[in-house]
Amino acid sequence: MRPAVKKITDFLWEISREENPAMRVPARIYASKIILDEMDDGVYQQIVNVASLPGIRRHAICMPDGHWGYGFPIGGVAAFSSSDGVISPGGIGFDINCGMRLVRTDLTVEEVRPKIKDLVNGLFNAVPAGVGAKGFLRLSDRDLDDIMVEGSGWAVKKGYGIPGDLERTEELGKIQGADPEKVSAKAVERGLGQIGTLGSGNHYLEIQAVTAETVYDDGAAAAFGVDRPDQTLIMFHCGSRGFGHQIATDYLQVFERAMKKYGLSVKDRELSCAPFRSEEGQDYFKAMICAANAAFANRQIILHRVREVFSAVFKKSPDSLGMRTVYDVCHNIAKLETYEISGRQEELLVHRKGATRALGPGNPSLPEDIRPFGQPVIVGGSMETGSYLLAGTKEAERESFASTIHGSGRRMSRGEAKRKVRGEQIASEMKEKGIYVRGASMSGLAEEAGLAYKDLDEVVRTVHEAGLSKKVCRLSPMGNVKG
Amino acid sequence: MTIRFRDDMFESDAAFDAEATELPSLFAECGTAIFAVMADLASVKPVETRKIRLEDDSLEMLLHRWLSELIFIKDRDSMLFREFEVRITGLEGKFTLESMNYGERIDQARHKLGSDVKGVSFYRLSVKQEGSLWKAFVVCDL
Repeated sequence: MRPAVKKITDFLWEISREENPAMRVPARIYASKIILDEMDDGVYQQIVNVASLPGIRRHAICMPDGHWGYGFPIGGVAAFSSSDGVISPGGIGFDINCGMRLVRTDLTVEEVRPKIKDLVNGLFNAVPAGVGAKGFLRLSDRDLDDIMVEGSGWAVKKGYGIPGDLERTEELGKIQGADPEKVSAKAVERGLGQIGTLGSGNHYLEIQAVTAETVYDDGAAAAFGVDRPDQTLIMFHCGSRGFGHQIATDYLQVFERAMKKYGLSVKDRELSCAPFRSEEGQDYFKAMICAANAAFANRQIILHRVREVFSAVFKKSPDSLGMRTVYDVCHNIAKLETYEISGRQEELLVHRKGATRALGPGNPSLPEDIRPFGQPVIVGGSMETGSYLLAGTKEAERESFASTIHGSGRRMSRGEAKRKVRGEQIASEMKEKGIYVRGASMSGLAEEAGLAYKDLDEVVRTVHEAGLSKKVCRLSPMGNVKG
Repeated sequence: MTIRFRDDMFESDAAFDAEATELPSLFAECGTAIFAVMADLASVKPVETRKIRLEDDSLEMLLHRWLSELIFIKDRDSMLFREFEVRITGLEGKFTLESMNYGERIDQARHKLGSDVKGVSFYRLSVKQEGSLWKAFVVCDL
């Protein structure tokens, strides 16, 4: 049964502590009334469970793209005291630093459309995707150690990018504090062959169009790199691959056993946690950072392949095509950040599981050229409906631990989607709409059909009206590679 | 022996109930279910083997670790598995599992592939005996 929710505003709802004696803080859901009514019951129970964890501050949060996960709901945000709070691998997910990168080009839609098949086919061949995909890099264990510590910087050093890519990546593509000693040999074995691959499921690589009609903030758009009519951009969504997945598995098993040692109990075993300052907590955090940095490097290497493909098709260098990173964001991560709690500055461990950081204008962590506008937030929609570029806000920093949505959020199970549509039908319908798609799996295409996702425009409207992030532009798909 | 995928739960992941009359068969059913998410197993030939040996103090941890090991081998060796010979001995407090797992290397051109399984969640993970049947509930992350 759903707990009672109290309306704070048209786009913010609260479950008070009185609803469940285990709750240490209230739980908040950002949603329009339409989205709130459609949210699955699992979200409500899970956000109440998160609000019950030790050391949690202010409130547990679920974003409008939220849906049933395990442990945390997808779209969940929670911040814990770094001194006496917990860290929970379930609050980050198996795909550590699953995230998004957006790349701008000088190419117009008119230049790209006649070559869309060549581009998508080239990308399908250059960026391995799906079950069993193997990367083109032959890495040694030592290389992976360096990647764990240096992140995207390793890739740029090896010639797979430019310094400007790092400036436009969250944490400059490298989170401090990685310790490869905390990563198992299994994770290394599992991940070595997958760096430079896309993954499967909802991972994708998309060529997109922006028109003047779909730019909502000219100043922010231009600063971010969306600066000409009918512009072509490229967006991709992937994470730390088998390397990160194994680290998550290893530490879920460690934490399952560690709970008893620290006298902790949780209603949901996937919320297994340990004190952040414990040996287990610190080991996992350092290993998580290794995976996060590997994910940054993975997206950097994929960008290199994207540049190669575009260069080959247009017979120009990537630089002369204006191919530069707009931004790269994490949406499964835990990070140490400082916020005001009860009138004083406190270091918190912010867990974002299917949620994106959204720093506001003026934040010193942002590069100077975009600082006045806030952090770019890349929100992937379905392959049929398009995506958004948003900008972070001061309101998000004050109210949601500088967090916002990550996508449109699923509203239908994969099984149900496959019963409603077939992959071949989706590909054909998209072709009729002028979107050329190559998928590693036909059943995967069906699972990712637009009807399986919430209304992206409504999800984005919610965070725009709630003040968590502002619309900059809307991007439409022209071509897509699905994992 | 039966597997029932739970489409009424989870929008983005895969959950299933499994049943069998014998415990080793239950584990084998769970292995089959995990790989059925990733591929049409009719397109996978059982031509290579991998052995697994594990010990743990509970059946749930044993199942979690065995399925996780299969997923690890799937990525390390780029393999899909379709048949499992499982042997479980011991009692609560110490169980030993030994399995021979049959499959082949992934061929993206030949195999009908689905969504990749990243790992197995602890969410409501259960292995229990009810009457004459062994039952399990597993959620895997896609």
